Amino acid sequence: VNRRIAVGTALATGVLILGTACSSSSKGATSSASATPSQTSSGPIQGSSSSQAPPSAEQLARSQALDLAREYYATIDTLASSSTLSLNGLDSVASGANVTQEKSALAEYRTSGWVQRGTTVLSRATVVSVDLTNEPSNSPEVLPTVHLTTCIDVSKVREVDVTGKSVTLPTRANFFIETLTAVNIPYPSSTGWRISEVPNKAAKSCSAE
Amino acid sequence: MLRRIVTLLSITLAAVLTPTLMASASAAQAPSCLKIDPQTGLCLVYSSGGGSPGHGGGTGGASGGGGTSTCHWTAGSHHASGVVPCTGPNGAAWNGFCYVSLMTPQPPQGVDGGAVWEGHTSGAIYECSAPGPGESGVGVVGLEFWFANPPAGLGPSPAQLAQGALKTLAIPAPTPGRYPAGTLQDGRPYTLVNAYTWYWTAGAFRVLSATASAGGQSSTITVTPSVLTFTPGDGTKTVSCSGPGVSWKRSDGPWAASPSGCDYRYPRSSISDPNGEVTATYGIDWSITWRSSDGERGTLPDLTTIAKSTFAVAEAEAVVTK
Repeated sequence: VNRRIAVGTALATGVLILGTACSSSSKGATSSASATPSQTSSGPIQGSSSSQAPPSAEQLARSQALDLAREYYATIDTLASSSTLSLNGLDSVASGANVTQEKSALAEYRTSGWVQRGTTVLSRATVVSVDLTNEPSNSPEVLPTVHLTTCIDVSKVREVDVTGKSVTLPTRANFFIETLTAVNIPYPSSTGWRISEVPNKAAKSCSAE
Repeated sequence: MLRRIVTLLSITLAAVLTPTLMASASAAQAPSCLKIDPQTGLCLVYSSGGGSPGHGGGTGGASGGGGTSTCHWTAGSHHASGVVPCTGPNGAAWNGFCYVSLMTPQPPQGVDGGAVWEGHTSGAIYECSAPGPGESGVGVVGLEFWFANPPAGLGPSPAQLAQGALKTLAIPAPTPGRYPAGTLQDGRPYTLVNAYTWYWTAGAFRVLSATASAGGQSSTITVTPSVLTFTPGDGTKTVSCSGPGVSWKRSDGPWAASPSGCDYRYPRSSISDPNGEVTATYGIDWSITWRSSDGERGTLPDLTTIAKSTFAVAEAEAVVTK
């Protein structure tokens, strides 16, 4: 599923270590990972260390949320590139309003005979905050939440109709900064994280400002 | 696999991509786009116009959570943007493209119609419907979706399901037990001043469970007795113990305290009370927790069930039994 993200499994571990490293160098609230096509699973992980301490719940959440972000974009790509794969594949990466919006959009595109060409590149993913407060019976419910900011490169992505003609708006940007909200309803299940909201905005590039 | 029953493609792709059409509608309502589809450049979610939508709500750019709030159409491939009520007929929830509602009746899981279930045996099938009789520009109308849990804005919440499960349970009142528990010559039951009056409940003090389901989701409640309370009826405060109490046995002797701590010593007789009796109230406090089928947990407010028992409090030397 993660076919368009070059960074492989090593990143999951690297993100965790990186999160620790970044905490000491910034406000202690962010961790980040870079996933560019030039990186591979054997590539160096910035800020890695040989810490022996078991990861804290927050570190685990950061790592799991970053893994989820990669899985999320890969899943959307996979489903958008297919006219037959079940859209319910989204249920394993998205929830709430986000899942219905994405399913509906993809369903509508399929109805039109549209299909995606090209793959999204997750150029940057940064954990902005982690709040593991878990009070699901509150109203409104309070769930363990990780906020991430990502930058995606869709310059190679086009939506095409049945004739192969691009229907992507010519005004569409090639880069997007997205604010992902990951929630975990069955927390502390490590596989319970889902992307519940993804507001975004167009960007000029994914280069670090 | 999702199954398309009806598609109402009343607007052509050419019209879809006509910038002036979308722009004019957008300008009239002035929504800003919260989420652009990176693949197409189309807007998927419009701003609420006041605050950002929270988890599980505000789909499709809702401007409020109630049925009178307005949501924005997504400027998708077959229609211009516009404004629709966030809640459609029969409580259907707007998701930015169509109204999503639980399909009734649910298609069968086997043979004919089974494909939409995609092999799932839980969850439920939901369908898209148009915003209204005159609104047919949404290409996803008639599409059916399988969801493990009700989409945001639809169906009872796990806590509401738990409330429903609670209503199906008959939570028992305590069955009062007491010692001393003799009968006076006039037929009134009695206990004795200064004696340890043991109190207990015979049965009822046990864990209960019930489940309620709707829309492919369920909540199971667990109702657990926490304490047995005893309000003596002589004007003093309620006392309690952390279990059902233990029933008195002859081998315990007449003056022993209850080993469970479920006892109370009446300091005076009830001769001055109405009918020469007190009415004691036994209570069981229950705590209630719930767990939904998708792992959510919560609690409901504690409950208390009660039973009353009327008896005399007699001086030992004055007791004349039948």
